Amino acid sequence: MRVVIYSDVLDLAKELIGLANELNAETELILAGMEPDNVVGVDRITLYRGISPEDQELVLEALKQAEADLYLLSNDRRGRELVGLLAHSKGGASIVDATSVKVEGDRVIAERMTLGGKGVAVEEAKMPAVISVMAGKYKPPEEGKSPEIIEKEAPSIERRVELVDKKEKPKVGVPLDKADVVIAVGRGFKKKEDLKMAYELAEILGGVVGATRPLAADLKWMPEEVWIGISGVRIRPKLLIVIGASGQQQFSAGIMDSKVVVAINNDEKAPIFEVSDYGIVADLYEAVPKLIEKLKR
Amino acid sequence: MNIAVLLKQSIDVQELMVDPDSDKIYLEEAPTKPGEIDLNAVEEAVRIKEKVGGKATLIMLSTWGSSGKRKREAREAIKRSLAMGLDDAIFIFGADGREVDTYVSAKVIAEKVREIEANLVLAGEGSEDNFTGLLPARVAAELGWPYVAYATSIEVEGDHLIVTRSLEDYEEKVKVKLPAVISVTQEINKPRIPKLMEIVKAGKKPVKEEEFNKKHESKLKIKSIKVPKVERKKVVIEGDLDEVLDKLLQALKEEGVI
Amino acid sequence: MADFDVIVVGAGPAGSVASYLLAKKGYTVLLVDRGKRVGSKNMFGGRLYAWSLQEVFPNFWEEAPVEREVKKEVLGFISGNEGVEVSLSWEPQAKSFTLLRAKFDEWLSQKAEDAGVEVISGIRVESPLIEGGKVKGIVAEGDERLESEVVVAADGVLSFMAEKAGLRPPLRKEDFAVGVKEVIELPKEKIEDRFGLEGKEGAAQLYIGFTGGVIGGGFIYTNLNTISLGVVARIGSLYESLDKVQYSMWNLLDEFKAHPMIRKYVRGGKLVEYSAHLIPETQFLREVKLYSDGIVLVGDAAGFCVNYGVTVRGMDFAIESAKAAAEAIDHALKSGGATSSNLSKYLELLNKGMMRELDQAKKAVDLMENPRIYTSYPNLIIKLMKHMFHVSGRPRKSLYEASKEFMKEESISLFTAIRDIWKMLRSL
Ligand SMILES: Cc1cc2nc3c(=O)[nH]c(=O)nc-3n(C[C@H](O)[C@H](O)[C@H](O)COP(=O)(O)OP(=O)(O)OC[C@H]3O[C@@H](n4cnc5c(N)ncnc54)[C@H](O)[C@@H]3O)c2cc1C
Ligand SMILES: Cc1cc2nc3c(=O)[nH]c(=O)nc-3n(C[C@H](O)[C@H](O)[C@H](O)COP(=O)(O)OP(=O)(O)OC[C@H]3O[C@@H](n4cnc5c(N)ncnc54)[C@H](O)[C@@H]3O)c2cc1C
Ligand SMILES: Nc1ncnc2c1ncn2[C@@H]1O[C@H](COP(=O)(O)O)[C@@H](O)[C@H]1O
Repeated sequence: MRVVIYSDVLDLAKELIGLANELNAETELILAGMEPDNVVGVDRITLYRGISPEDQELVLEALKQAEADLYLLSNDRRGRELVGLLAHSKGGASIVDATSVKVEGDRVIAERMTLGGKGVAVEEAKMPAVISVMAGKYKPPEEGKSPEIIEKEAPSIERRVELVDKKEKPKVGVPLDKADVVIAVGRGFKKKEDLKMAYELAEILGGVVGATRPLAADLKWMPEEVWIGISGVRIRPKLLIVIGASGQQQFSAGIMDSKVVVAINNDEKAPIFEVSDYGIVADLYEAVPKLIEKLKR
Repeated sequence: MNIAVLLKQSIDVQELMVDPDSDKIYLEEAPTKPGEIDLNAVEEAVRIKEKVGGKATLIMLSTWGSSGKRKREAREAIKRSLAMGLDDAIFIFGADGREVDTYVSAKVIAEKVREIEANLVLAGEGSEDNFTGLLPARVAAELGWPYVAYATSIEVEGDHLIVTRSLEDYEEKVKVKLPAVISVTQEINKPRIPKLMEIVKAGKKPVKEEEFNKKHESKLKIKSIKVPKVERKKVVIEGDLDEVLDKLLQALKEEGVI
Repeated sequence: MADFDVIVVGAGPAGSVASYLLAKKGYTVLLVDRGKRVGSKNMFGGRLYAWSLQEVFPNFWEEAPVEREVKKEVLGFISGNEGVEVSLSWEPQAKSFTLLRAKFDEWLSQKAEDAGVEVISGIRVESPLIEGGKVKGIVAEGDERLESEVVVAADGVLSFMAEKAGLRPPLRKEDFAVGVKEVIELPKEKIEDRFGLEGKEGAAQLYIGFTGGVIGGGFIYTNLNTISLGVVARIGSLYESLDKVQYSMWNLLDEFKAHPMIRKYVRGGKLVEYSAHLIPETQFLREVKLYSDGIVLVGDAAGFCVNYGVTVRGMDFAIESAKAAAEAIDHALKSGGATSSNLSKYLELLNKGMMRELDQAKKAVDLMENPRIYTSYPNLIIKLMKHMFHVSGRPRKSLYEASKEFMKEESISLFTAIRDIWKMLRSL
């Protein structure tokens, strides 16, 4: 069996190699505009130095030219965007956001979250198939065969998408999915300045602050990398305190692996209480300062 | 501009009931609703039309069965989208959810896009119940058109679009040649809420209802859907605020998390 | 020109039937409901008496989503951990069915839509549109004004339409009882075994004696593969806020469900739905005006609902009043307009028809006002039964002696008992 791996983030590509090794496949890693630093455990690396990851059409063409039974992509937005395009042009199946991937004969079986997090679907397809795999599920191999490296020229095709501008987004630093304590804030906060409380609480507890999608993506009070949920990060802290978030399914799907969940909300009917260990029905503007005060003592 | 807007009637996941003990998922009983992000696509189509003129057609392929209830809910959703300002709609029903993966859906939908001679397809970044974003990508591949996902703004410039899109670390601005397929995020706009009289009038806009005919085989099979098991204590701590917070801190200490 | 001949607010049974009948008569009708989906949040205990709907849709049960036909009635008395059940299995002449409102209301509104009614859900009507003291239409969410010749207020027990049109005084908490209900899923066979039913037969079971003397009780209705279980109590006046009332109602429901006699019915079942709702009290009805220029009240909005203490009956009256309203509106519009005097036909029709039934039902309610029914009598009955079945090998008191003693314990004099029984007989 042949597996082709692609990601625009080298660390994610390495995780995919970890998975491919479990599948005992002949593996090829394709890289666009990136150097293969410390990559092991893969048979071949094809380098396209003349393409950068934002050249979606060229990356797609490069992937199309690589023959494989299974294509593994990272589940970041660039990866996801390619899955359907590649699968359709290969006439194969596609699965995104897989949390596990297995091969049985000529079939691949993967699990992924569905129904807004209320279900885990077990999906099966005859190969060829294209699958994007959730980050953090597989470990990069620490040692293994050293790859043969081949360099290729950018494929020549007519371009229809042209990059005009590219801006880096502000970053926070501590990745939410690795934090032990997370304070998650929602639209219950009236203004951006009020988030100070949440940061203070996080500091006392040695944690980081995450948010619901509207706060990060819509109101832009926080960097986008901190939104939690089905379309954002999935977190697994020891302690999660959710403040002023209603707990809609798409948010709650991202907090399921947390150990202890506390919710503060002034609406006793908020669905967040259904997915919490400890619920506090209170105005966050009273409860949070008091909580901080008590913790300081 | 001749726009096709893709709207999926999704399971209302907020109201979907599941039973972790028996892995039972109450799909039949769950209501369906138009995906929220799909409505952003509808709104964007209407705005583009308002700016540059043209026509916008809704395309919906029902994938959750076609019982009377499902059909009613779908027709209702279509009527509302028409009330938001779309011109007409194509509603394809009769497909069994298990027979239509995104490969089949894309084939069926692309055929309709060709039929109405659209030069722009707008879809949501992900459907509310499945959230894969696979469908619009496959429609683009099927049509052989360029595809840009995660759009947060769309401007029309002659036979090109200027699309701003949001990725994890970057915001990109790209120039896309028409015809094209674009998927939008929830942040691109705020969908208008149609007025009563607009909904009444939308009832008179043309809706072409067609029976799904099975011409393609699915590539993917859903073997089973399990219910993730999360045990939560769900204690709402009662008392006055001081008391409540003291009890909370006590409990968190006992849990060993602070 | 008005946007519609008739605008009906609220797509419960009253609104759907009224709009259906008016559309059938050729009027343009708009039916608006605030629910995201018609009927999705509507609730009731569980049993519809068929008589009134039967005339609109003969044999409707063959087509409508009804669950089971009630063929078994159970009356239960609870005292502490003990209980007595009296059961009647019969072949009633007047049919009644158990059903679930979400499905049923949707079906009814579909009937209206098929008849040509514009049915729009998900939009709240804020108030009647009033000009020169007359109702001219409605004001919907977003300050949208729509005009019609006449408005039918079918917006249920809290009817802001009626209140804002000045047809009834603002609400007081004493005017309402509260009902809470759960729908519990069980395999069909289990339901039939546990309740002793066959095929599509259904049971209606009522229980009193566990509400701590408050007027109220519990009910169980069997559906096809769920059971509806709930508690109704007149506790509005005991608490300062509705939230608190609801909270204590849920506690009462939990107690009811945990009672040894009840829990065997629900064991192993899965909770699939729960809801709470208000019920108008009869004395409140006396302050309601049923119509004025351009507006007619039907169903719960008009207060056509009877709370017997444990069970509530309102759907059949809602439907019957809708029929009368449709006829009166037709008459008024043909006689020159929906003026108050032309609409007086409504009251005329009601007086000829359902008012007698309603009055009788209200008499029964007066009887059920008797707090002894909710504590002393259940206790007494259980004590008597226990006495009858107690066998220890030693001589015991005669039944007569025992009853005298038990009555004393419950502080019921022979005179009171006779009076209560007499009242009961007279009101039936
Ligand atoms: C396909 C799809 C994907 C999505 N993906 C995500 C995702 O990944 N992540 C995500 O977060 N969302 C996502 N969403 C959006 C999601 O559905 C909700 O809209 C969002 O999570 C709600 O955010 P919120 O809880 O901050 O806001 P709201 O729902 O508005 O909740 C605010 C809460 O604050 C409470 N509150 C208000 N004032 C106070 C006070 N003074 N004190 C205490 N409490 C107060 C309120 O009671 C309320 O419960 C997605 C939606 C769709 C359709
Ligand atoms: C606990 C309980 C048990 C009961 N048990 C029984 C029983 O077993 N049998 C029986 O016959 N009756 C029973 N009833 C009574 C029965 O439910 C009512 O009498 C009946 O539903 C009245 O019908 P309606 O159409 O008048 O109002 P409703 O059924 O209340 O319908 C009102 C409709 O108006 C809509 N609405 C309200 N306000 C607005 C607005 N501003 N704008 C737009 N739409 C609006 C609502 O969404 C709703 O759909 C019970 C009631 C309760 C509370
Ligand atoms: N069955 C369908 N009918 C119409 N549009 C659909 C359908 N399925 C998906 N879409 C569109 O494709 C987008 C992404 O869906 P998905 O690929 O399921 O995440 C949705 O937001 C819709 O715009």
